[in-house]
Amino acid sequence: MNEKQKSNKSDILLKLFLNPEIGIMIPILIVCVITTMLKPNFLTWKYISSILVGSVFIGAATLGECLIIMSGEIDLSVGMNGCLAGIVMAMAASEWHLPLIPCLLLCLLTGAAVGLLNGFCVCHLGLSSWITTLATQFICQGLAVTISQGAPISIMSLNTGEFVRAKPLGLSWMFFIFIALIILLDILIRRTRYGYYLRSVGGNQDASVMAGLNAKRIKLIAFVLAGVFAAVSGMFDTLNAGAMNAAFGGGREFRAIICCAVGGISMAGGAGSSFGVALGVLLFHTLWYCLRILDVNTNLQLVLIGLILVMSVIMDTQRKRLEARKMV
Amino acid sequence: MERGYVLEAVDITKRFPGVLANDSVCLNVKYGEVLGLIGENGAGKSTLLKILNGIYPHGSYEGKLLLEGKEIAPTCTMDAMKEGIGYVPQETNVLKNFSVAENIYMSDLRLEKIHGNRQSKTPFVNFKEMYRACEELLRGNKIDLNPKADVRKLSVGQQQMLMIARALATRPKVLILDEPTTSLSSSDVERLFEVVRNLKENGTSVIFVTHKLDEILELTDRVTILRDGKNISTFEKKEYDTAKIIADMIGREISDMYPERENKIGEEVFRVEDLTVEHPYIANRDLIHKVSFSVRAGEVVGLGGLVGAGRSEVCSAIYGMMPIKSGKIFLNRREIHIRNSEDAVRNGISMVSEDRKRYGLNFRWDIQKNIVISNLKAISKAYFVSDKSIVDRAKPYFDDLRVKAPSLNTRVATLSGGNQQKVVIARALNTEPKVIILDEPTKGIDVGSKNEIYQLINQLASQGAAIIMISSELPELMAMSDRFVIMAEGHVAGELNKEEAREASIMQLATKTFKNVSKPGKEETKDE
Repeated sequence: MNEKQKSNKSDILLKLFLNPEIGIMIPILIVCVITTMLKPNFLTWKYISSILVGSVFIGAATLGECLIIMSGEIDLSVGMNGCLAGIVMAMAASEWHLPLIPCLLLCLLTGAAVGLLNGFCVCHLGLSSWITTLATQFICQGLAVTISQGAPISIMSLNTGEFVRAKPLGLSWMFFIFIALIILLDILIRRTRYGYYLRSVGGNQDASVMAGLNAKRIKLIAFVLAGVFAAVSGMFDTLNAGAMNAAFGGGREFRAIICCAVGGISMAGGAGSSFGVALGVLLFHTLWYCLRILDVNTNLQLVLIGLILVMSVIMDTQRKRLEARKMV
Repeated sequence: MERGYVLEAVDITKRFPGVLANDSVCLNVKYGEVLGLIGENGAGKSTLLKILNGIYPHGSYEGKLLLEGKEIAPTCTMDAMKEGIGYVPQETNVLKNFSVAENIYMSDLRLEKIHGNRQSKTPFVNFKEMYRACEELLRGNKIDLNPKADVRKLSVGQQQMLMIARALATRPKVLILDEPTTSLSSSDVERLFEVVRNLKENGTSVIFVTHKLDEILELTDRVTILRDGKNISTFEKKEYDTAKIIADMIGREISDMYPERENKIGEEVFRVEDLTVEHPYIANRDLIHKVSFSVRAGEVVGLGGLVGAGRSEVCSAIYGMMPIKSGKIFLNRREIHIRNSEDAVRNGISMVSEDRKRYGLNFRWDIQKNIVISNLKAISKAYFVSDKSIVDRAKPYFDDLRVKAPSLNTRVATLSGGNQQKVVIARALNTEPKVIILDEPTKGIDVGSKNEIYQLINQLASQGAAIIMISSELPELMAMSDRFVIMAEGHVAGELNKEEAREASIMQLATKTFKNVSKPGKEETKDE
């Protein structure tokens, strides 16, 4: 009897460990515990809210990236695409004197257009997504610098200061928009026809085509959506800073990819959840934030972030191996 | 000690969670014999081979392996290779950017097997020596390949030979061939048999794994039959009896390998006219040239011909997987336009591909999702898909096709080949097709599942589906088809009724040659 209870208990623990979302929470907790030991007042709302609020910028881009990786491709343009979209938005406000809503729409439209370009090249011209999106990354960066002439562009005319400074529940509106996006994406991936198609194409594209799916269109939509998410991240940047600068968003695509990897999105495509991605973002951002408040040397920060991410990915693969062994 | 067996596997037991894959299996191979190993999918053959080959390391199973009387404990494939167990896997995995000789000696670029264990001192590869050794190896084993040939240009059969040569370069005492004939044409099979016989004469023992009984009868000296992870029986050549072997393999008797069909053939459902498809890589050359045929409701039309005659390409083109250059497709006498597989499915055409691994299934998914993905529109409300509707939709197919799996949630990667094929067919049927294209539907699956698939084809035909079937196994094609369209070199060489079709007449048409294939401008075709 006792034995049985014990094995039941370890079963539950194993199941918890095998759950991908909970698997990612473990390193987050470890990072938090270590930080608390070194800086006892870490576990206060001030720091926690600051982490949560700060994670939305990279988070929005990561949500788009995860769609692309799920479809079996890669998007290296999310960072610069967001930057360009932000610049367009700022230009619309300061130069063309448009009101808020058209500015936001222009921003999203720019992201979608870049996504469409990516999708068209990859799906219809058959180019590799690595090369295509690397190229569009350069194009976006070049355009952003050219349009802005290298100087920050203010969005003072939009009067968004109040919106940005508001603290609903001690967080920010952008944070709640981000949460809403996560939930919407989760519904899209797990509940809708498109979500099934996307995962099917990512899992085995040839088989999906054989089943009568239009893989080209499915991937094209993923690229456009990723462009929109990238634009949202650029929009957040612009709103937050009250201005946009072509130097924003550099290297964000790689951070987004790392967050996806940590968040349990299979690099081979076809698997993952948006909550996992959100937790991956949280882990990445927590880590970065903790190292900063602990006053770790900036260069050493990079080393530590790299090491800890590799460790969490190792843990994830071990978890999958365990899972596979249980499944056979 | 008697000099009897070169390789013995004694009481091998291999467990996976929930499955006993091998239950004290014994296998012994005599010096210089060809031992057949036969069994259904999921009988435990692959597991046993993986143990012999070191993929499942020593210690992960119970029992022992004896090579020439000495116990061996391979922990990886290199170990097994060094001990003298050569293994040729079912799927060819050649290095496409290297020559034949480089492929063969890639694992031994110092050529230690040739020079003994004398270590080569330079970091450079002695290509002259490599090509010489390769030539010798190929000649000694009667393998007809050029050591300098570009591997990309080899046919499937030649690639298979290359794989064998690579295994032979390590000078194995026992060579394991895992279903080597699955994708070979009959002339390639004959060549393979010659190589195997030659090996036997030179004293190398061969374990020959296959599904095909004819090959067992023709080639092997002894046959061991596995079923459900257990040894069932071993027959000597003189005791060979087809019925007995089949009965032992599947554990029941199949009275009727090819079940009778009572179908009423109705109106014409599907017709292609002058279908022409360009060669994807070679300019000004047609892969398919003016192919026309029709299929009626409840009829099974067999597309016959040799491998490479263009049968699969015709089907791919109809299904929208290859661009059509010219020609018309009619469904119910109305012309339809198919640009991609989505169009095909929307028009009521469904296809099962011969390449189950590539075009088959999403191996990350379970059975139910793989089945319903082809027709989510049927179960979605607005754009949303619920778990319950997936189960409701998949369950009837799962039951009807008798997929052997614990539940609908079982991942397809864990299923045997025959059951995977049933899931592929279920997915095709889920689109409620009027025209079903089956490209080698029984390739690489066991006798029991084959029989079930034949019954299914009959059932579909009696429900009025128009079926196009490709098969390279002539007996199967002859038994299952109502009418034959025989292809050769991208042309329709002729049509035959069931009554007039004989093996000889089919082969005669299949080997017809067409001149001017490379010049699509000239319409006339001539017999040789």
